[in-house]
Formats: sequence, structure tokens, C-alpha cells
Amino acid sequence: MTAATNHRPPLFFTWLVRAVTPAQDTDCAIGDLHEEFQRLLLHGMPLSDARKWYRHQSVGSIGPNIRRRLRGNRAAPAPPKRKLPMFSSIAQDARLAIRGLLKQPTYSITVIGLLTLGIAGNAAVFCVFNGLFLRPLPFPEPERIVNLDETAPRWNVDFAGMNYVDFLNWRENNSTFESMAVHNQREANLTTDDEPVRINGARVTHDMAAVLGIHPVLGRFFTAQEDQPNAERVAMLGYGLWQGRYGGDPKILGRSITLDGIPFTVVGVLPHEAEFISEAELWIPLAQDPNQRAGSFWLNGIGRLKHGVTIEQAREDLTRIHKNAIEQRPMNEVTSPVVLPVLQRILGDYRLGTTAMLGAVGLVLLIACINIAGIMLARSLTRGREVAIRLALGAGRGRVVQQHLTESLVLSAVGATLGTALGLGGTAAFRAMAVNGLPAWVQFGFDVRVLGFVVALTVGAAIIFGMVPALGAARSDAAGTLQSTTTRISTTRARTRALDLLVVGEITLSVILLVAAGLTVRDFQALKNVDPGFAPENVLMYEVSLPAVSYQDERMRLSFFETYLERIRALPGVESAAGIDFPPLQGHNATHFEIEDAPPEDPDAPRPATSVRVATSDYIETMGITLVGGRSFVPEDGRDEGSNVAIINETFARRYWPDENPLGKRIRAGSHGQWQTIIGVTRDVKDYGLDTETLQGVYWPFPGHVRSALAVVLRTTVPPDGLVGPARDVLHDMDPSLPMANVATMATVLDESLWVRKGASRISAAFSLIALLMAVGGIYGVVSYRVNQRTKEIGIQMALGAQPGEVLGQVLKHGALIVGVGVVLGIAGAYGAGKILASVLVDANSHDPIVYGIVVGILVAATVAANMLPARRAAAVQPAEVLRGD
Amino acid sequence: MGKGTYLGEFEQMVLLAIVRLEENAYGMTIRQDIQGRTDRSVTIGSIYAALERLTAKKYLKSAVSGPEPIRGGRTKRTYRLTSAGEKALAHSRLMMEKMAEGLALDDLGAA
Repeated sequence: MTAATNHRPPLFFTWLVRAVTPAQDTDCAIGDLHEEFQRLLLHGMPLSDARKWYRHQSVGSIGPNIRRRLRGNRAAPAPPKRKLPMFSSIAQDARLAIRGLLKQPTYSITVIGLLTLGIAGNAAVFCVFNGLFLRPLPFPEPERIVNLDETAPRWNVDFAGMNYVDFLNWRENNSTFESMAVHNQREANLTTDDEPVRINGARVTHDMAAVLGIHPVLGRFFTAQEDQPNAERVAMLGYGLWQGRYGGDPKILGRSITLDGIPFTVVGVLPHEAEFISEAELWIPLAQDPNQRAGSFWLNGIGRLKHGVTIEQAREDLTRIHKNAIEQRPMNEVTSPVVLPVLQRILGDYRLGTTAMLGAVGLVLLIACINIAGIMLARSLTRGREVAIRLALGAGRGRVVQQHLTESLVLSAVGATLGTALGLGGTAAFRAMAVNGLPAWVQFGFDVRVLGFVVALTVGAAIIFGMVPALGAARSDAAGTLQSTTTRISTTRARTRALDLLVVGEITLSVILLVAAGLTVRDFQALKNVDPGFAPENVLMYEVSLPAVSYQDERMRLSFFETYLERIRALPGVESAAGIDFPPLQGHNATHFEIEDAPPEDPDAPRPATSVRVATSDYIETMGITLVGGRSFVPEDGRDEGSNVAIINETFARRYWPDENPLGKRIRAGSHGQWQTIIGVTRDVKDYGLDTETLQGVYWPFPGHVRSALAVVLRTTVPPDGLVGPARDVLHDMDPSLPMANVATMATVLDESLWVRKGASRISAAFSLIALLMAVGGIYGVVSYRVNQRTKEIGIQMALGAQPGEVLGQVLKHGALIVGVGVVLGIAGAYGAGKILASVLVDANSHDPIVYGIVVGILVAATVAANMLPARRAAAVQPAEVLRGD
Repeated sequence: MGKGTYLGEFEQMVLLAIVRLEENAYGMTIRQDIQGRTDRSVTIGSIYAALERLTAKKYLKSAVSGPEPIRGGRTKRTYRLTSAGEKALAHSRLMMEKMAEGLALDDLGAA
């Protein structure tokens, strides 16, 4: 035996060897190094060299030992069928997590409930978003289908509609489209053997099917010959109409149906997707004579781009063709082609709202995640012992993180499954809210995109709410936690601070959501209070359309409507009755007017279009529109040249006679024809919705401008619904073949015109309420938790003479600090978000101090309440009991 | 002897060192023997890694002896070849000799 020197090898490097060497060899390996170190010194090596040798040995041993650990005991006889270690450990973790979660039902249900709520909102809104914007249209290569239109900035019209002559020019000369077509919606009275019905039909050019790429389920589409003026009259039925009205009878081909009194031969049946065109269920050829309506913009265009052609190239192509024709068609100077992705044109209005909603539900889910992270963090503090034991027994920290995340993932997956089911139910509610029904091609169902979204949400949520506690757990100091409870206070401080930060974040997000919801609701309220310019209460409205075959000339139509209105006025409960071609909120005709003796206008100056409505006498009174000057129509107006009169609205009056009385001035449509004397000026009517500007407008008297279809308007002294039956009886008595179409009260029409905003305000209110509840719950949880943790400290304070009031104040002060910081940050965030919101809102001030005030008030009240309960519990602490307890 | 049970170069060195050291083969002496003969730096970590592999292959058996002052009061584990270890070593050497048979290895500059 050799004696050892008094020198010891470097301590750190001994520790290093101990750290890297597998347990079974640690002692021997360190012993070997120690021995050799001593022998080197005994052989006369300088101490510094020996220490250098020792350092070299220990550092050099790191590599082989790590390789050795990674290799494991691979060389040992392998146990049969080993799974990959990672997966087997995840499966093990999942089993462990499920077992653990079942043992704590309250915790699990709380977390899953929060997730379900959060994910349900997201799934529902995403389904809607997906159905509207992501799901491809049910046509082959839908990305090649574009909307065609014309724009006329100088007339103040973004989308003028397409002109037939322009269409023929484009179709003939373009090099970028495979096919293009135009269509025009047209309602018609369809008469078969039984009661006549009003149906949605469309006139289409024969290329329509080629553009969409659809094929008839029965028969054929129209031929080019059938699309000529005065061609044989043929029709195609929609699938729904064919099934519903003709029992799906295949013998329908070749049969004759009557539309507005004219017989048409059925040549085919189109599939459901064809309803995409004008929402129609019946189609007839456009058969337009290019010489008629040559100056009108009245058609909807659609085209299919050639392969590889971009929208920009198509627009350039059409613009070149369009502008080349300026010589023959001077109007083309003003108008330009519009080529847009087909969905953008149809759904443009919804995109912003839906995206904003997606943002809102995202915030709700984020709040839910923060809440769950808080719950988990609080729980991990009490669970610290378990983790510490696992760490002490040699579990790797990565393994601890993995176990925590697996548990989060299990929770998240359960929440996602329930949430998705709930969300799909929610889309049904959304569909029900769309009063006019959504087109058949819009589907909100579950598909692979929704699945991908939900899976991403699930994993994302699990990472967001699981990562903080998981990392916290892995960082925990095993030895410290396993020692006495007193040392634990310091190790938990960092995590309580993390909890506080989570709550601050939660309050911040809630403030943003609440402010956004407050602004939306207030905007909607403000909109409801906008004066529509007419009195919608007690007004019944429906449409009556006279077929051209049985009412061939104007006199017959005029006499029919005059007699009908006279008989309606005689009904008990009717105060007054009148007719109009385009009632408020139901579209318009527009044209340009010339003012008598007006100085010639600069040809390049903007020339906004004027809406033209044809109304019978009594219309202004019946609709409750206020006259600001002159008189309304009397039955004699418009019957001869002497009574060629017009009524204008205030916008029109303001534009042309800002400082003069317009009464007695003369105007005319276009640049020829009869001058019309202005006899009255009305208040502006919100003809296009409460959130839209009114155009300058003109009313013409019905006898001078007879229409074949009118909306009949009744002002009643009894509930208007009661008059539907009597009014129908009168109509049936005069002509049994005439249906009453689109029966509604004016109040309903007005209400329904707001459905998008109404829905948005309700949904955002619901979301922000959920967010508020979550935030309050989160604050309550965290403050309670802190009080529980500090019970002992509070007990000591009180034993040392602190008053309950002071303790209460202390707890509340901390709560107030968290809420205060959260509210300030939230207001800053909302202020920023208000800029985005401002683009969606009509007229509510996006920085409305009242909304901010109410939100802050609600939050402060709610959070004080959430703080109060635990604070009172703290103040009620009995010091003696607490101090005995440990 | 099937495939996959061949001995690596370093493993052969460890086995040969143990044979040479007879009763005195343990971590330090094995390390010193290899380093002394091959003039390459060998760390104690790599020695124990090889010892573990060879023990797992049942080519080595070991015995623990009590603590000594010069080892800082730590135990010592001495190693001996099993009969399987002796066969494996012999086999590996034979394989290498067969592969090298008739080749003028001096030209390769290995020395």
C-alpha cells in the first residue's frame, strides 16, 4: 500500500467526472483518477502538471460517457420488441395523464370547459369563414371564374352593371377568356295547373353553362340560336324546382310551362350548383336585341379565364378592347371593365366582418389559455412535491416537460372535440340568422380545412397554456422543494409573479374585447336610431306583377293598379294605400338628369347618377316620408303634358339649387324628352340601408311612367299582418292568376336590412361576456391562491398585531395593482384596435369615451368583487390555528 | 461466432492490456498500459465505456476490492477475461492476420 500525498485533485473536475459517469462506475473511475494523480505527484510531477493532467482526463471523459449513455445498454441482450423510446414514453405519459385527470374531476372539467368554450367559438367562426372564402365553389377549376362588370367613377358608380353591346364586343375580341356570359335576374309568375307562384328566374346567354363548367342533369342547355331575339321560347328548370313542383318527372322535357302568361318549352334541368347564377331556379335565354337598351348597364357578367391567364392580364385585355371602341361608343370614355375574383365581388362585404370575428374568437381562446395556464401554474405549485420527487429519482427535465405537455395535449384534445361539436352547432345558428337564407352553394360543414384548423388550435393551445407551467416545473429545485415548507416560499415567488403576469395579460385582452364589443353594440344602437326617412310602423308591403300577355298596354296596367288601390283603400283597417316600383331598401333605377337653363357642365366633372322611382298618388303619405316643400302626387299628375311633374329629394335639391327654391324648376332624364316641373321636395330616404348614403333622387308620377309591376304599400290602423288575407282576396277577385309576392311589413324589411350588424353586435357581445367571465374567474383563482399560499405569513402578521383591515387592504392593494396595470394596457391596446374597428363601424366614434368608461367600470367592479372574497378570507385568518397547523 | 460480435480496435487493446496485467488489471493500469504502448492519449472515461461494453458482451468479469487511501478511500474494480473473451480475442486476432496474409504492409507506412 502506498501512502497518499496531501494534495487533492481539483474539486470541480472530480464533480464533473461524477456528473457524467454512470452511477455504477463513478466510484471506481474517480478512485482510478485519484490514485494516478497521487502516483504522478509521488513520481515527482509538479502539482500544476498533475492538476492539468487531471483536468484533461475529466474533460476528455465527457465525450465517451455521453456516447455511452446515448448508446444505453444496447449491447446487452435486447428485450423482445422494444418500441421507440420516445413514443412509448408519450403513450405512458398519456395513460398517466388520463389517470391523473380522472382523479381530479373538478380541475379537469374546469380546464376542458374553458377550452370547449374557447375552441367552439373559433371552430364556428372558422367554419363560416371557410364556407364563405376558403371552400372552393362547386365548379371545375373555380379559380378561373371571374366576375365581370363595368365601373364609371365619373358617374359615382363603382359597379354600373354590364352593357350588352360591350359584352358582345368583349366576347368577340378578347384573347384571355375561354368563355364569358351575362345574366339578369328576373322574377316571374309561374303558372301550372294550380295556384300561380312567383319564382326567381334569370335570363342568361347561352354560354352560361360553359363558363361555370356544369352539365344538365336532364336534357340540354340553350343553343346559340335560342339566344337570338324572337327565337323559340325555351326554359331550363333548377333541380329544386323540378323536384319540388314537378316531382322530379323526367317527362318534363318538352313540356310547356307558363311564365307571366307566356308559354315556354322545358329543354333541360340544371343541377343545384346552377342556383349560383342570380339565385335563380329557372333560366330562359337572354335573347337580347343589341339595338335595344343599348345605353343601359343592367347585366351581371361572368367569365372563365384561359389557363394561366391572370386577372390583371384579363383586365388589360378587356380595357384595350373597350377603349378601342370609344369612337363608336363615346360612353366607353367614362366606363371601364372590372374583372374580379367571383367570390370577392359577392362576399366582399362579409370578409372584413368575418375576419374581425375570427380575431375576436382568437382573443377569447387566448384568454381561455391564459386562464388555464394560471390554473396549471397554481396547481404545479402544489404539485411541486411530485415533480421534485421525480427529479430526485433521476427523471430528466425534458422528460418532466414532456409529461406536462402530454397532459396539456390530452386536455386540449378533449376540449377541441367537444368545442368542434359545439361550434358546428353554432354555424347552424349563424345560418338561421341570415334572414334571406344563404345561397345553397355556401356550406359551413366540417371539412379537411376545418380539421387542420382545429388540430392546429389544439396543439397551439396546449403549447400556450402548457408550456409555462411545464418549464416552471422542470426548473423547480428538487432539493429545495423536498426540504421544509419555509424554504419553499422563496422558490415559489418567481412563479407567483408569473401568475400575476398571466392575469394582467388576461385583463388586457378582456379590455380590448369588451371595448370592441361595446363599440359594435353602440354602433348598432346608433344605426337603429338613424332616421330612415320613412315611418316603417304599420306598413304592409307586397309585390304585384302584371304579365305582358294579358296586360298588353299601359292603359290596362294603369287602370288595373288604380282600381286595385281604390278597392284596397276601402278595406277596413287601411288608412291609405299606394304603389311604387322600388320601395326603400329594395334597389333602384338610376339615370342622369339635365337641369333646364343650367350652365353647361365640365365634361370631365363628376356626374353622379340619380335614382328614379315611380310612385302613385298617396305614396309619400303612405310611406310616411316627410315633405319639406311643395306637395305630393295627386291622381291627376302625369296624365298629360301639362301635368308632367316630378318630386325630388333634399340631396338633389342641395346639389343643383343650394341657395334657391327648386319648386317650379324643370328637369329631364337624359338630354331629350319632356321637361318635368318640380312640384315637391322630400326628406332623404335611406333607400339603400341605414348605413349607406342616399343618392340624389327623383320620383315620377305613375300615370306618366306606367310599370307592369309595383310594390303595393298599405298604411294600416290595425296590425298590418291582418290585412294580408283581405288584400289577397281583392287581388284574386280581380285576376285569379296573379300571385302576391314578397309579403312583408316595412318594419321587418328595415330590421332585416340590419341583420349582419345585428348579428355582429350580438356575437361580439357574447364573446366579450365570455372573456369577461374568464378573466374574472382567473383573477379570483389567482388571488385566492395567493391568499392560501400566504395564510401562514398572514397568521404571523396578525399574531404580531396586524389588524384584519390592514390584511384586507394588503390583499386588495395587490389585486388593484394587477387590475390597474391590465386595464391601462388594455385601453392602450383597444385604442390601437379602434383604428381597425373604425373601418368596420359606420359612425360610432371608435374612441367613444362612454364605451371606454363603461368597460373600465364593469371590469373594475367585477375584479373588485373577485378580489373581495379571498381578501375577506385572508382577514378572517385565525393566527393561532394557522401557526399550530404546521 | 456470428457477425456483429467482432471486436473493435480499442476493445482489442483493452482485452490485451487486461491479459498482460493479469491480477492487476483495473481502470488506471489499463489506461496507463494502453497509453504507454500506443502513445495515444486515453481518458479514463473511454476505458470505462469499453469495459462496460465488454462486460455486457460477457467477455469480462470483474471483482470489487475495498477502499485504499491512495484512491481517496474509493473502491477498485479489477477485470479478467472470461473464456468467451479469450475466444473472441483470439478470433479477432486470427481474422486480422488472415486479412493481412501475404500483404506487404510495411509499404503502407503504418509503422
